[in-house]
Amino acid sequence: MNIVNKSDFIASIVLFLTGIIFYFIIIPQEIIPEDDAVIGPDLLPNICIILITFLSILLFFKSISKVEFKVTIDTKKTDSSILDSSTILNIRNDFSSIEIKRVFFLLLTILISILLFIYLDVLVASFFLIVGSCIVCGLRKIWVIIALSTSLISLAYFLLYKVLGTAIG
Amino acid sequence: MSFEVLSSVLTLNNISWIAFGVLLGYIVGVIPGLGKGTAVAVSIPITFYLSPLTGIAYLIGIAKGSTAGSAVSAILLNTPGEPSSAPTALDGYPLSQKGQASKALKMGLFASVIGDFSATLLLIFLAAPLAKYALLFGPVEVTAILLFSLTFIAALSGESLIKGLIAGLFGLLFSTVGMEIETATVRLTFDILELYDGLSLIPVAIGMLAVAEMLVQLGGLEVLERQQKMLKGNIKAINQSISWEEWKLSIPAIIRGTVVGSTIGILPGLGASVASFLSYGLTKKAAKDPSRFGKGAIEGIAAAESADNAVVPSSLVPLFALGIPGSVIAAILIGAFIIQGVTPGPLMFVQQPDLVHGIYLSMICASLLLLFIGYFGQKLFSLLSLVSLRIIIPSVIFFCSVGAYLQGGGIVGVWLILFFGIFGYLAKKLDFSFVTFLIGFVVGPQFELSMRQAIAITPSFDDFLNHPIAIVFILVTIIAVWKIGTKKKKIN
Repeated sequence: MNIVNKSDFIASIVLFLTGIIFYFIIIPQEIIPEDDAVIGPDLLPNICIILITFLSILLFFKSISKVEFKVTIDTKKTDSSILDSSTILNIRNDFSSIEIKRVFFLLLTILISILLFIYLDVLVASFFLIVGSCIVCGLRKIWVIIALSTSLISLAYFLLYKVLGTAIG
Repeated sequence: MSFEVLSSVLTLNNISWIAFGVLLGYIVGVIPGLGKGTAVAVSIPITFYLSPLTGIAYLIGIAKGSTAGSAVSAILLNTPGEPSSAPTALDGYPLSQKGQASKALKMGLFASVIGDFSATLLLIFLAAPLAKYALLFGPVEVTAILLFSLTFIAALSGESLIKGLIAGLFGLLFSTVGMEIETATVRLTFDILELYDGLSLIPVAIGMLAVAEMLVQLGGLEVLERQQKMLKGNIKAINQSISWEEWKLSIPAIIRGTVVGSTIGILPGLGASVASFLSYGLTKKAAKDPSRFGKGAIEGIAAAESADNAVVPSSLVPLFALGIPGSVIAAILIGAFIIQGVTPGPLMFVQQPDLVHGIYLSMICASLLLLFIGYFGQKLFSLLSLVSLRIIIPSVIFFCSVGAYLQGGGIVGVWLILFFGIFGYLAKKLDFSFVTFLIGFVVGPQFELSMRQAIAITPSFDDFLNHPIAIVFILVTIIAVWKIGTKKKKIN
């Protein structure tokens, strides 16, 4: 088997399995149709999941065939020089190890701050979220981290609590 | 337009919020990686506390400001604030390196304002007549039009037709979470009480757009910082004016860009990137000396920026006339409309004409404010492009969490941005169109309702044949998908 596009190959398998799990386990458990309903509430979810499963099979075959099923906009082709040199567009399509590490730790920071919010306090959670994100992003100057977290929390408090009259916590 | 509309728009409160929106949008646009989708999604919770007119005008101001602002970092850093400004960098950056950054920035601003203003007028003249026809559509026609829009967007907005369709179907699937209206059956809630009302658009949009974008940007911190270091100390306050000769070269490019941007904006799914690249390409083709392009041709900036900015107002035409979002901004705006108790679509012109006229007038005000703020804030915005992403990412993540908490039903909203942040990050990285996902998610409830009604009123194929408009749209859908699919194969 000649895998042309590895990411599509993996995505197609994951999507296929998701489709199967949804169709045979999740939808029957989570949507129990009424007997007298003319059109069942599971109609659209079932249509979606059947089509997703079918398309994932197509994606699988495209990812192992020699012809890549990709499109390039004509204009993109002519002006590829700028696309190659632009930072924003370059970082999109590949996973670097440093990026995966940072993404993992940022998500972990958000997760821990949610737990801190639930079990401790909104202020602690807010500080943890900002300080943790700063550290994940590679910010090391303590005064910048303190100034940023203090000013952001104060701004949110002022804008949302004082100006707009919202209650948080 | 009545005097009441004028007096409701031209209040200090309304104008201040529009100006704040444009300013905020400009700042967000200047900073590489944030983008108008992020800015509008994060700002939606604030609109809850504003009047419908002010809230919508504020969000449109952000979208307009952000589109224009993205040219600044493209010209100064060779790093477009948004992908649609990439062709601006092609000539803007060489001009900047020649010490003519100020001139390039001014042309970018003028072209942006002209493109934006003209497309706003187009929206005003086109949406109402289209809406009159849309009012004649029944459930069968609506289902066919939604099916056409979704398929068309899926086929064009991503790099792969299959992936686009999968993304759109996931959007539809997630829209079914919660209580089903007709049978009161709870669907896909996993016994989480907060999900019984369905997934709120705001945490979904914030997760898919803002959080996912920040996760993507984490990978490019060093690259951007290198560009910023090169620029440091190079921003000079030279007040360069654009000569008449340069205007003569740029005016046809601006007209061309406005026409291209407006046309592409109306078509669902194509987006600003296609418009700006196409306009740039056409201007280069039409030039007497195309070899100047890529080396600092000022009309290249004019062509790209006018098209890019014309897309924002014209992409609202299908939203206002048919209630169908043709772009991410339009999809997010639906969320804002719903928060305000307004259903965007043809009925808006009948039920709330003053609101529609007020939005139009506010959009014109936003265009003028864009010129004013962009012109006088040029130096400040240039300096803003040096702000490090290491500061921006924590700030955005914090405000995303606050926004999701406020409008996403409490802490469950923050859980949702975490989930959809990961989902959006993978979608962006693996080229699954998040635009199609969001539009599928937004139109999902309407699609399901009209599909159910359509099935009920057309039990047989003969009944279906009595709906010629629906048949036309279904045929167009099939032809469009077939044509696009064939073209993609040929390109490869």
